[in-house]
Amino acid sequence: MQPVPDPFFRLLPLHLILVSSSATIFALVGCDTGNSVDPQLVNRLIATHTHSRPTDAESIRAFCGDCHASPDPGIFERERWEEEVDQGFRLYRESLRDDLVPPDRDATLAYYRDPSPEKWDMPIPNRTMDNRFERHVVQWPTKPALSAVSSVLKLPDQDGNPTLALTDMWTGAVAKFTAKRPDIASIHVERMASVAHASHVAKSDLDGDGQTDFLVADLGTHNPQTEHEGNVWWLRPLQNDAGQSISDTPSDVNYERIPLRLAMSRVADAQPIDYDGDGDQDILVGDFGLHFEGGLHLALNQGNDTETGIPQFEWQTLDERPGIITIEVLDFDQDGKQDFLTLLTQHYEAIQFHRNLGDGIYETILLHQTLNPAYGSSSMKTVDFDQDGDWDVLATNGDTFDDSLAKPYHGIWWLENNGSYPLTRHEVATMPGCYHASTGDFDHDGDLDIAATSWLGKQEIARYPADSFDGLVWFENMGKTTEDSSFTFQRRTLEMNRCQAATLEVIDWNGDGHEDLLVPQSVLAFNVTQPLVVWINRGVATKEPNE
Amino acid sequence: MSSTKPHRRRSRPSSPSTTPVASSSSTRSRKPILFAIAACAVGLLISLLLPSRLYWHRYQTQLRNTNYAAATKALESAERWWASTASVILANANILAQQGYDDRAMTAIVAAENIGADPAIASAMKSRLKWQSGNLDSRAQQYDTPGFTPDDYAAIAMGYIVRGNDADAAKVTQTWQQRNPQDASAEVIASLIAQNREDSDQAGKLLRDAIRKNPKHVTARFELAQHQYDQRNFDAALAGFESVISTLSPFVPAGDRVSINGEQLHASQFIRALILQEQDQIDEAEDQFQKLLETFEDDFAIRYSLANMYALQGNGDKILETLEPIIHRFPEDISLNYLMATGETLRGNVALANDWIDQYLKARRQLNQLLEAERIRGNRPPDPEFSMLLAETYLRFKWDDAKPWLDLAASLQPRSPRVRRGYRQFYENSGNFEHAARYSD
Repeated sequence: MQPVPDPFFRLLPLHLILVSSSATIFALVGCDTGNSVDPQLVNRLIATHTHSRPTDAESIRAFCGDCHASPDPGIFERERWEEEVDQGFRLYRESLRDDLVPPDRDATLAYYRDPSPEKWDMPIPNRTMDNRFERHVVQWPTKPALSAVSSVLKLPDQDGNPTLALTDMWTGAVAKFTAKRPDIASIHVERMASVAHASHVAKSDLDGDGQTDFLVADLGTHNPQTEHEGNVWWLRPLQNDAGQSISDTPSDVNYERIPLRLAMSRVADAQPIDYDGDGDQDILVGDFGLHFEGGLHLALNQGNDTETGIPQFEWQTLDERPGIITIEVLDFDQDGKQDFLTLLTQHYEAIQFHRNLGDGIYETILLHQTLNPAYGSSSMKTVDFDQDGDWDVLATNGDTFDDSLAKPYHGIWWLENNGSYPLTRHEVATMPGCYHASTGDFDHDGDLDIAATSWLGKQEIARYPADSFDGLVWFENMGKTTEDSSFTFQRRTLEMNRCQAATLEVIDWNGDGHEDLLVPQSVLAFNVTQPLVVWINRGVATKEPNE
Repeated sequence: MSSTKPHRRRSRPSSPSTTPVASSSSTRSRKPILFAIAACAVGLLISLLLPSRLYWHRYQTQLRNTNYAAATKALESAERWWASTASVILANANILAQQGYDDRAMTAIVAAENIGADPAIASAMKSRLKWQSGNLDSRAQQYDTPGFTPDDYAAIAMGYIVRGNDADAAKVTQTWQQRNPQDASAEVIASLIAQNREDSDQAGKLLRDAIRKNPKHVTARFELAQHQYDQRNFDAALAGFESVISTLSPFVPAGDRVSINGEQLHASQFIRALILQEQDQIDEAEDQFQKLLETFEDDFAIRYSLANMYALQGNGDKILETLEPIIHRFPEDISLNYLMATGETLRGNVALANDWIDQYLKARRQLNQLLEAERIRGNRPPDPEFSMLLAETYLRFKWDDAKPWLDLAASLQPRSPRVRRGYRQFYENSGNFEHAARYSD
């Protein structure tokens, strides 16, 4: 009897086929390797902020007043608001914050735009044309030619001739120059260094050898951008007997350019300070930055390298907020310790006093802050303006790099130090595009007058009637009308319609005992060379018929 | 009981219950055997045909998902399982066409036709190729009549986009969306049109809609991730790029960043590293950069970005180590020279740092002069000589900004050997050697 397969074995081929087919189907369809998508990732990808967008004024003010004070609708002309509102929302998004409730965009726009002025009512200043100062052009005798002078620093000169250092923000030149008295129009120039886009130069003695060296702040790039190319340079005098530089700096340069810190954001100022009171010079760096980059940095001096003699620094960040453009180191409260002041721009618009409490501890005190994030703070300078023995602050606002717009609230003001904080603000004058102010007793009457310059684009000037804008003014201090009142000023315009100086320096250029004005020009363009301009104080003013 | 032949004996003892069945007549026992043979034959047929069909199905699905790499692999598998060669070539042509490789697609269609591909299908594909290159015939312009497939709509819409006619492209897309409301690709094309119109919000919304319809749509996820990254919505962007990486990694061949999916995968990995850096996940960012370098060892962008990250971390040694393999290829590049100076400064090598800085400043002056030259030139008519001069200077000092000037020069003098040399250098610098080879003399 033949054995016959049982049903299982008889159907074995079918089973095998079914199993293999199922496996194939499963393999091909069910187990779709590499084709599945993590639903959590997809949910995160398509996530939208679903919370409602409030439209009420309170919510709008809360949102738009969190990083800075809620702006007044009047700070911009009507057509500008759309760009500003959109920028605000964009910056909030880019800040990566999610702790605020963004309001409805259109309601926000309407809130600010509707009550804003259709057009600026740009006041023509009540001015008197000056005839005390006389304009002289001083050609820059070396290459690179000057293009956009960003800072000037007075230096001592053993012969008493005016000697200054300057930085050119466009060409990157750092140079020292001396006027050859009595010739007004002749200068001797000594190149110090070439960097990318120099913004500031300061005297220092970082290596403690008793010889003056220099700190240079370098924006790195001309336009604000996210690349980190801001630098802090140290210019060390070459030793006469050294024979050669360790770098390949040109032989006509008497300074060695030493990079102390590269790859910062946009360095606007660097100042030496003995921050920790250990007797050597540390460095404060104001990194203007961009939106979320920058800050106030400190480099603590760790002593000189034994081989190179270059001081070594330990870096730290004191304040992460970007926007510092000016640092001034001085004993502001006159307690014998070195304090410093900072001018913080980029919508913070504050002047801060960093009081030295000793042992490297500082207390930050607000001396002044405006609620207008588009204020355009442009300069700050300590001076005993009322000559009562303490430090006051002279300040300007008129920066237009953000929007190129002259604004009627730009101007000059000073902060009176009464011993309490914040300081008491006094207006000097409005001056659209005002970029820098300095003091001097121009009329020799014993009080301090003020000179101010402005920096505006030609297109912006052309938008308004001729003579709308002053380029260079001095404000004659007319004294106080009453004991309790502030000073009053007579506006004396030296130049109109040409607003192209980022800085000025009060200096007796020709040695006649009268303070003159050195006003280097600034035009941000290649092959546009600028002379130095000196306004010589003739010491007398012809009386105008109306005076 | 007679003995049985050993070979017919089963090793397994028969169970009592099976014995009666086993002892049935020979006629009765032949039927199950025949059945088994028939079943085997059918099974074999199914086994042979089914994988081919299933791989084909997978190809179609992956194509819909714009996962061209996976679609290609599915097609290769289908071919191994005896799918028709003509169909496979035609399908390959479809994949190429959808990626925009019109010439290669056309060659494949012709090859398929020569070996007996369905002429109707081949003809339709040729029409689509024509349409998507902007050659819109009268039939294409009747897109609102019945009979058009989603592929047809895609090709016609792309044709209008290529011709710069976003308005008609939008109309085609609307028709496509009405007729195929579940086709995510329609939303993706619509988002492209929105981007062209600089309506970023609408583009983002359309891409979200596309993903809701088809979460596996690779291009929709990639484009939305890009959109989120542009908006600095980093968490969302990171999720999107990671989902793309996870989908494409198994299919895209190592080193491919030229194909659409290869480019998407590479960009996803690269931007992922940048986002991780933004989020201060430095170790993870470094890992991602290093993984990219394993495949693209001499890549400028990867090494530059990694070195830049080290610069922000204040790690001079790592900056130099990262840039050393490529610095000789870009001796005048402004960014690399600056980073080298940063690295040497951090290491305390002032003299070397100054050397690099001098190079950097030289480049900066040159580039500033270019900006000024552009400004002065203003709106004067384009000049090929001027464009090439700018392109060549950018190629020296900041090569990644050279492309617009090369494009302008090429539009004025398309056959100029100088322009071709410029393109070749540009693509070599970007690491796209395949593309660079197209501009060889």
